Amino acid sequence: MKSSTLFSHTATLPPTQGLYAAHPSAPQMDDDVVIRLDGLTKKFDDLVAVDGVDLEIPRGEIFGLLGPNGAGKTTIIRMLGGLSLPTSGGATVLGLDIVKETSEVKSRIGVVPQNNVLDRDINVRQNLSYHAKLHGIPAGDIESKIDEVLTFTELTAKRDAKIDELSGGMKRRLVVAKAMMHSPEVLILDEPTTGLDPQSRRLVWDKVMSLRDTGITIILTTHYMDEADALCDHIGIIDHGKVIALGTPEELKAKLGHEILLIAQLKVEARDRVRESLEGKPFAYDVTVEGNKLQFRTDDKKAAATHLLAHYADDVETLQFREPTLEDVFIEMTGRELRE
Amino acid sequence: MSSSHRIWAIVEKEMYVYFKYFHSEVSFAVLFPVFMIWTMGIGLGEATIDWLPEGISYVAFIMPGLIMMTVISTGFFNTGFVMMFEKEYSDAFDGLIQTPVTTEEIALAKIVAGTVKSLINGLISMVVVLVFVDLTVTSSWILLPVLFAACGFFFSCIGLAMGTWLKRGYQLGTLGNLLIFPLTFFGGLFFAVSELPENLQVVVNANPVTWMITAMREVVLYGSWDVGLEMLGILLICIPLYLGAWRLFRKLVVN
Ligand SMILES: Nc1ncnc2c1ncn2[C@@H]1O[C@H](COP(=O)(O)OP(=O)(O)O)[C@@H](O)[C@H]1O
Ligand SMILES: [Mg+2]
Repeated sequence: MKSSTLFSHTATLPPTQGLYAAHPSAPQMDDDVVIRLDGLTKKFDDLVAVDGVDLEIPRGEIFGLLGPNGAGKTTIIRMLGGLSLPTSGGATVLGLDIVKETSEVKSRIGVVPQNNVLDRDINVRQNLSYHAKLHGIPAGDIESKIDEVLTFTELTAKRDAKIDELSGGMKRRLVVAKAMMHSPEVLILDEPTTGLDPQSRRLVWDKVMSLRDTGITIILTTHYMDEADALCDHIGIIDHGKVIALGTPEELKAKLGHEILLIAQLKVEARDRVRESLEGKPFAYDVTVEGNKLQFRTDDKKAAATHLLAHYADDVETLQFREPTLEDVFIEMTGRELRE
Repeated sequence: MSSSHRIWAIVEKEMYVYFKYFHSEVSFAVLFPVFMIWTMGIGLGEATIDWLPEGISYVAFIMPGLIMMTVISTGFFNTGFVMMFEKEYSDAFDGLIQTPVTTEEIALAKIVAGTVKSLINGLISMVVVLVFVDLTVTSSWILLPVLFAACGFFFSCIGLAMGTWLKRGYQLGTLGNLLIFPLTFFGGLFFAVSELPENLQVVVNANPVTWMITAMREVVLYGSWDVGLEMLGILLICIPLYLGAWRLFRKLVVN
């Protein structure tokens, strides 16, 4: 396990500069960067799945790759884990080249892929011990390590269960347990909570956060913006194989200029009238209407609300302010919604 | 951590699964020779065939080839199907290749496991045949495990390559039948090569399965030790087969 000093060191990094600047010239201390992508590219015939991604992921934090389905998240993870070869560019993990030093990389990272990589011919304990043997863990240490990871993932009662007897959430946790067997310095989770019920999802979140607190660097992909927001110290938003934004959740949301969304439900017949009245007003941007709903961004809550209530009190049915979310950031940058 | 430990871990797991489903694994090794002995026995009875060597019945004559077919089929189908199912129908294979184990180690372990299974199935068939057919066991029978292992390795290489390359079970099934039946039938399973016209003998003698069946006959029917040439031929061909299987495996597995 890494010492927690590394973690606190990361936490004091200045926002956005340095580590996150994707300039090759930016001076970097290798010790602080766990994963470095350098023009990483993957093509499948004509399709560019990952398009020249430059990225640096610091030690000791939870880094999220957020993007819609098909953005290229899994392809990046597979290349980092040595399961797929880059078409061009490259990457290092813990300073090791992902192509030339694949075995060494694999022995020092844990990967929880999107699919449940479990062997159904053998039971829970055997899956873990098989994995441990392939990682060269000394025979005498395997059983105690199995106990440890099963306790951590709350699967002790399922130690001798068949894989087919596990629920979806348990299988997911077992894959996490498997990835933890060889005490990796970096844990990569590809869509760890997709398809899980809210309770299992919360459990995975808790586990991920407690792992980060032990000093392990965690990289996860997700297409849930709330998950990225809740878990990640830094986020890379990825779309069409390119990282289009990078920063802390707060920094990303701040790109919307500390604005707030105002959502008003109106009488339908008043809708267009109200919209027209907002034209040219300094406190309203990006006015959109949908059904009886009118929405705009504002950095002056008071002026916006006063305008609506002073002139259209009879037409406004409800009025609501909302903080911008990562979803809004994504829409702002791509013109599309995150979910398909 | 060493390469041999990882190879052993994979072989051990493969054998565990083999013995877990032993009842189904073993049924082919038992039922195939029983069925052949039974039908051949009924069909041919004590019919005399003039080219048969002194004191050897036709049923006894075809037994070495039948046992060899068990070995060959196990090598090809077991190695091939295990590989294909792991890769196409389960996620276990991704779990395997995400560990530090290399493609060389996986390929070798899968082929070694296929070889051991072929050896076991061959020995089971041998015992079954001995129950029903009167054969004289001689000291040269000690060669049989070596022969089974060599032939099992040979076809495990082909099985691994095909199981990696093909994506569907029926493709592997069809290809295996298209490969194994002609090779064994033209490998002198039912006839003596020396009875063929000379130009055909050249073709049949170029078939490695002919060497396998010939070597089996030498040992099982005549108690001979004189199978060095056949063994050498089989082992020499195993080298390019293994290298080819591994390279195809490496190319298809990580891309
Ligand atoms: N093996 C493959 N062959 C062809 N296309 C692929 C393959 N794997 C992924 N893709 C394509 O690459 C793109 C990125 O996929 P992926 O990395 O799985 O996205 P994500 O994980 O972000 O949903 C998609 O358009 C997908 O269809
Ligand atoms: Mg994905």
